Amino acid sequence: MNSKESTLLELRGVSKAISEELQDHFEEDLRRRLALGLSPEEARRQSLASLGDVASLARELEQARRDPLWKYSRSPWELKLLVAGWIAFSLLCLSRICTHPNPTYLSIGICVAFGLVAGAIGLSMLHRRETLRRWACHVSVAMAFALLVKSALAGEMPVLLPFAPLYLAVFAIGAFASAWLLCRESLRNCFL
Amino acid sequence: MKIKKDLVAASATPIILSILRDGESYGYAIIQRVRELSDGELVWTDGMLYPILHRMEEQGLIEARWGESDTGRKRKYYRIQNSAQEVLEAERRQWNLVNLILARLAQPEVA
Repeated sequence: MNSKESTLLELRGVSKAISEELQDHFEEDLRRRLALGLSPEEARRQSLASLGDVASLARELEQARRDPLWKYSRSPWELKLLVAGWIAFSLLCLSRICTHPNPTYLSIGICVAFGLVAGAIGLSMLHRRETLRRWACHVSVAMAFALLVKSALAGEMPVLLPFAPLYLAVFAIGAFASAWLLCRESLRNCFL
Repeated sequence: MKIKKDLVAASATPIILSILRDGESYGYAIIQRVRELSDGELVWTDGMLYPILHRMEEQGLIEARWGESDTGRKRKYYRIQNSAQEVLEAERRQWNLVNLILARLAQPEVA
């Protein structure tokens, strides 16, 4: 395998899924050219030439998978509604906590916010919106962390509440999901 | 005949959806199918097709699954989503209208 072929499998910053798909394309094209009677060397040369700039293509494919959320104009209406509700609630929650620090409200707010986020994640999985799922997780964890810091600064830690285990469990699940999504490409590379 | 890049890009989505409506397929086979349907006049490249396929997947028009090729290699197959049927019909109506207009304009006017 020469250097250009190896780049198909080892492109930096490119998921293995994309490399695999391009590699499959290359090998299928190579088989077709060999079947046409070309010599192995010539078939390989033509297949590589037809692939063009593989690195650019791979980067473009990665970009397509990471388009910003606002590009998803064709998202189902229930998903848009849920996300809008989630964002509105998050902002409301943050503003109330800033003006009226209250541990009970804080904990309920975080749990409900995570509930909404869980719904968004579920719907995004149902409709295969990977980007939305990623954003939902990261924003929810960031929001929970902001609330936690704010409450800590105010001297009102939510862990003192009776339902603290629930809050901690929800936070842990959210943090885990966020971390998992951040490492997803690496996991894919391991298990594809 | 050289087809303009803009026209190729605009027609890609309805063509891909139409091909996938006949059954799931994968990138290379889609390129070959387009070449065959156009008698070799329309030649898509991988650089043009795969970004479109991935965007269509993110938009929920098509979904992908990993399967195996006849050689045992991992292969990504795409299939049309039910929700994309409406999109395809709408695209077809638009293309038919454009085609109708051009056909009528090409006809010699009767005095």
